[in-house]
Amino acid sequence: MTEQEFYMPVLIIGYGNTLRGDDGFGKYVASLLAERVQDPDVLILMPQQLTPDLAAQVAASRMTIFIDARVGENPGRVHHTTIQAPDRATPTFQHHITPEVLAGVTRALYGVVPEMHLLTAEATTFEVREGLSPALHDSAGDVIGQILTLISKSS
Amino acid sequence: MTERIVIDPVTRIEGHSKITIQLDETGNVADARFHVTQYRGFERFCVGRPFYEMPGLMGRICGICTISHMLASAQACEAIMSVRVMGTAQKLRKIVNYASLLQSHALAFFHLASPDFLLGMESDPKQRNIFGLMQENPEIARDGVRLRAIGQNIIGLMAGKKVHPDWIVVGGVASPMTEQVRQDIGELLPEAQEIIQRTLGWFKRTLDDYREEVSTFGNFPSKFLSLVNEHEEVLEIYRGRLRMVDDHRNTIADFHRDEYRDFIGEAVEPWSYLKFPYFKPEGYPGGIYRVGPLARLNVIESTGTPMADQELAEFRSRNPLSSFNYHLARLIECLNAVESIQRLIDDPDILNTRVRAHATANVESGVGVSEAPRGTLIHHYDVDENGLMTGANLVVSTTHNNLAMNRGVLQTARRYVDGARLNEGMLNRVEAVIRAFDPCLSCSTHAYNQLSLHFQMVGPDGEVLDDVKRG
Repeated sequence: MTEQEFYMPVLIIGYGNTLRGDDGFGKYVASLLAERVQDPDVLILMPQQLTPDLAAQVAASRMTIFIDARVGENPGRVHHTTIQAPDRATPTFQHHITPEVLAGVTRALYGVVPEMHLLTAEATTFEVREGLSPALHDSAGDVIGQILTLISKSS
Repeated sequence: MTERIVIDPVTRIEGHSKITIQLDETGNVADARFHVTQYRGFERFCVGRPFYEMPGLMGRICGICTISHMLASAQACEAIMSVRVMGTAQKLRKIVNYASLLQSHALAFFHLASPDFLLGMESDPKQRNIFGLMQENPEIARDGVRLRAIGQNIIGLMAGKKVHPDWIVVGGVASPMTEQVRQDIGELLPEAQEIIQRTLGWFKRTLDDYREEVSTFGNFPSKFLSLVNEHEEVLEIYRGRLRMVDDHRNTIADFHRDEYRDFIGEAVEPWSYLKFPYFKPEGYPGGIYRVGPLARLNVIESTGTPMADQELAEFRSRNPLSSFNYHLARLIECLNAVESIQRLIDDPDILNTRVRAHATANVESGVGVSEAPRGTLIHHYDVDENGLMTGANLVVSTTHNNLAMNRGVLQTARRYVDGARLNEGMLNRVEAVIRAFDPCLSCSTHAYNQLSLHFQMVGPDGEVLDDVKRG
């Protein structure tokens, strides 16, 4: 680890819409982490969606971890994916972007891409409602455990 | 045989629309129209709700102009309560509206419009967007992303949330500014100022390469409408008096917001969901006027801040009637916003904790007005004896520009469209004149659409003669 990397925090971005059922999973897990991890070396954000201006904070981190819900047939199943920046930032113009596109934006704007991970849990419902399904509640602990392991390895 | 070209939807704007271009027998442009294909519902579904819910409800019209809508809405409600918000709460509201203007102008200039300047009107449409800009001009793209983030961060610091905050309430604001927030905002401003001045420098040099576009993109005489300060001849973005000037900047009407219906009529056309406001004394469609950054700089005598005034003096030497110069006006307003925020946070009164007045409905009607990033915004509410909404009329910023946008599209199409064969650069220029106005059609309603571009040339019998899809 170089001296510069030592001062770069781990960035955790739990995102989603808490008014759309399990879509609020990312924010929920991030809020649990914020209570548990009282470490100035770990920066936790909870936006509703990913936006290009996050690229500055991603570029300034030594590792970025995204937390989200996903569509799937096995509610609560957790997936861990390593994010790679595409060769070129994807030229689609929409009101949300994916972790891969954010990685591409970060590289295009700042010339660097940190180690990036995406942790997702398969959702039960994205209907208009508040609160998570029992399956997603149960999977939060698994996701937190994997994130703490990633943080530990990066220290 | 006459033909019709359809550009549907128009890209890199907020909301959903299309452009149709009618060709005559010889392939020249006979007519061109800008159609807004979204539907507005907010004026209807607010009926029956308590008036004090309106800032929160009406702010949801748009994710970009939330603050301006909430300010106009809160003022209309305060008029119903017969309460005038003064002092610190008014200053806090101004700060957050300047921040809103900053983030919106950064979005319009860097993300939506600058790919045309920096990559070229004729460049590959697959690359002519913010992502292409990141590849080709990462420094400028970085400035754009950062400037928008600074505007959003100021809103977040002031109001608790960057998008759809509930901090602007009827009677004032929900909480006062803390010393920490004042310091945090102060630390953001120097970087914003550097970005804006750097951008002004290269954009003014770039303008020399776009003389033809300056002379053809919505370049025509019209009236201009904006708020002006009630006490000084300076720019105002919150409350103030409404002023209409002619194309020589002579004042032709100066009126209170309660009188807006005496001066502004709203026409309807069957081919668009966007109304066509006009200056009533001159009738429809002769009463064409423009709002927004270009209009504001044409109406006022001074921005009220020194660096922006220096830029304004230079701006006066350029063509003040060309809609292409909306882009330059946007940057000057960004500079004014940063200077104004600095001045407001330096005010010793800004940390005062008395920031809200309380009352109930005392009259049956109220009008509020603010300057949104795209122009003058009017909210007019009627309530019953219990304070429940019985009607609402919104004259949204983009709506004021409807006649002018249509004239701009026609002017640009006549200059660049040459009938027989569709050409990418030609079509992009027709879209680009709309982008100069930075319309926000989402303020009319919300539509869920995957943005793509579909051009069709259709014969009078409905036969598709040419078809180009993008996205």
